[in-house]
Amino acid sequence: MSGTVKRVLVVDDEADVRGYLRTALEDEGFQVETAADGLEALEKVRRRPPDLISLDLVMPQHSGAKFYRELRKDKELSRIPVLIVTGHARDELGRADFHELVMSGPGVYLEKPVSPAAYVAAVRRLLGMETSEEAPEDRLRQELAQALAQADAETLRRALEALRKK
Amino acid sequence: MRQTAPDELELLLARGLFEQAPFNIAVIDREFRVVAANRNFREYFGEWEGRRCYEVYKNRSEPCLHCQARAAFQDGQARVSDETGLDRRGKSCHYVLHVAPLRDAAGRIEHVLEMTSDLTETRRWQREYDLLFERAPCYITVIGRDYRIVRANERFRRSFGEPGDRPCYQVYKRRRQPCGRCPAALTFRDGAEHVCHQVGVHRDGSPAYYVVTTVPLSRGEGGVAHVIEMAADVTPIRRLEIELKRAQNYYECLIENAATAIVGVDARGQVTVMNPAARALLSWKARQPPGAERLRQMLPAEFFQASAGLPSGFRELTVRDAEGRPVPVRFAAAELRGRRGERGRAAFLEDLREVKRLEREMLEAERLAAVGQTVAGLAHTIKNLLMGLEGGMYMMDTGLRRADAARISEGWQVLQRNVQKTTALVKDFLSFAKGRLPQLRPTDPNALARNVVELYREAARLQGVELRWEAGGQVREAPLDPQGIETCLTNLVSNGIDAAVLREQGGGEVTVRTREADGELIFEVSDNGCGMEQEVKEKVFTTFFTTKGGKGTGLGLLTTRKIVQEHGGRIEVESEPEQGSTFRIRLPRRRLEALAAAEAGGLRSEEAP
Repeated sequence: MSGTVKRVLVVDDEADVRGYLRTALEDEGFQVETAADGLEALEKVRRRPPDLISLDLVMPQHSGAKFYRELRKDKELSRIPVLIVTGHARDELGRADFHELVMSGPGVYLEKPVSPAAYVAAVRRLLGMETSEEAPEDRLRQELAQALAQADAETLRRALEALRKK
Repeated sequence: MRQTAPDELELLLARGLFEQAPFNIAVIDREFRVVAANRNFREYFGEWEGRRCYEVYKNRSEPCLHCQARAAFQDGQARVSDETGLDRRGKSCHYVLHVAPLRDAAGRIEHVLEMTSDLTETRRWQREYDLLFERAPCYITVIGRDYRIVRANERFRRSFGEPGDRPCYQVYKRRRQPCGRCPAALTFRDGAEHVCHQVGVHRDGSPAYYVVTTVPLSRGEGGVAHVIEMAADVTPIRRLEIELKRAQNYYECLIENAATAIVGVDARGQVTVMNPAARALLSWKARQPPGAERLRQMLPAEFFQASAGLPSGFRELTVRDAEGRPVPVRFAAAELRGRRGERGRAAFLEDLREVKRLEREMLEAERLAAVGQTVAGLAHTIKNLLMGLEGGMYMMDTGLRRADAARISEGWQVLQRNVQKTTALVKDFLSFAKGRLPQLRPTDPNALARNVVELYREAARLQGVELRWEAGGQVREAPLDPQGIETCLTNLVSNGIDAAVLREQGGGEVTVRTREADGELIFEVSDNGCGMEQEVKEKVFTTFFTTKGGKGTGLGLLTTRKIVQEHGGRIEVESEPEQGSTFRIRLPRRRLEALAAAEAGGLRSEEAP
């Protein structure tokens, strides 16, 4: 499994989000295709089924939920794992779709905003891939960077001391 | 006058007696000739001289069959008999005949004395009395001192049965002992007339209500010997009374317990009915109902205008309670007409205070729901922006680490773009959130819509879209926030134009309409553009939703819906893909009026930000 390159289809109506997720995945060695709405996504899935679909739920035109229902109708395509990336998991707008998809469907979702490490880790998990050795370290670094970004002068001084002692 | 006289002196005496006696006297000889008679006799039977008694008494041609005179001549005994004959006018008459033999000096009976007295009148009285007694439309009984019923009339026997030898209390009331308040006993004691109400038992067991009058009938040694009791049966009247009372109680109960306030007045405006609901609604605490003048201060004037007919059905208006506070009610009035044509009026009021309060609360709840939805939509938009920022940072970060200038530049652009978007959103959102409460004032909806159409017509034409305007004829002035509604129409029109531009075959049109229907003021904006799918339609008002790419922040329809809801209205959409869309603003007039009234009354102050 680890030998082959995995293909992921990223479906999101926001171009910047598409670009972000594509880059994050490509940096980790995935092959990525994108679609701006459900219709385009369906077309691409049918033309060349990916190994995983990253799906936004609420989109104009053909929504993620509608796309997902279409997908389930096809026995072959319904085996493709779907990772839901949504901002609507817990509000009025996405709740019904969310319940249908997550509870009866893939069962995995990420709530926006999502960090690159968490996103890639979720994709890996769904594909049954071993998390790379560097990955935990990467995540720790990232967490540290975030903590440092918010820290005051005193905390920074103490953190620096701790690192130096090591 | 004399043909044979037994004795001069006797004759004289007899003559004196003859003429003075208060009855008819005649003297008959053995040949049945009338030999003498007094004036009374002549006046009663007519001329008698030279005539036989049977001719005079009965106009017969031969002696009577059972002649009393002949018997007297034979046995010398006096006798009495009841006879009928003919009076001097030939009319049948009834009389008592006393026959007495007259002996002469020698002791022979040559004459008899016949004394007659008329019974015709007496008999008639007797018959009439009997008829009256038997057939009088009341119960008549004659009671002895021992309270036994001596005589009872037909009506009594029919209603109470044959009295037999029973005492009156047993027959009238099935009692074993005399009654406590016995009018007969009083009459026996004082000989005067007494009247009282009694309740007895008919022979069929039903109650008998009667008014009894007792009068003394005959007097004996120990005072009054018999009392006559006359009782008028008032059972049917009594039954009616009971029925009436029952019916009255029934209706009183209905009125007393009605949830609707009811006030009834007579022709002079005096309050005749005021039920507890009315007391509560008008805060009337006094036991006495309000006087005519006081009531005028509370109920609408039209209720008191005697000449004018009352409008039918319930209408909403405001009355004043006892303290002068306004009370919103549904009001109806009805004319009350008695059988003798006397007039009164009744007012029916339904308290709308609670309804109005709920209405206000509902408006508020809708407003809060709109805020909640807005916040949810806002959160999603922010999440997407954060996602963009996250992506930009990632690219900058990795680009810097790899010294990849292209990636750094791309990341930088993503960051810039999303910061710009954030700025635009915040600006839009602030104006949306700050949006003033609607300031309602009488506005012509047609003028408002026409202004928007005129403002956008040229811009639409430049994009190849025709903007049309159809005025509703029936549309009346309404309390609106003109600025707010104009914002709504502007948003809808600009959306409509954007959709119509997308029409592939060209010929895009947007139509603005106003109309009234079912108490609602309606604004409609239709386009023949690209239309929407069900999914989009459902979410079009509930999110910062945009199908226009980067062009909009998705706040237009949200703002529109907010303004509409603040007017107590709702906005709906009909749309078919490729067929176009119609957005419809519905503003119930009742709610507009209520909001305007509340605004005027300062009741909305608690809603102020």
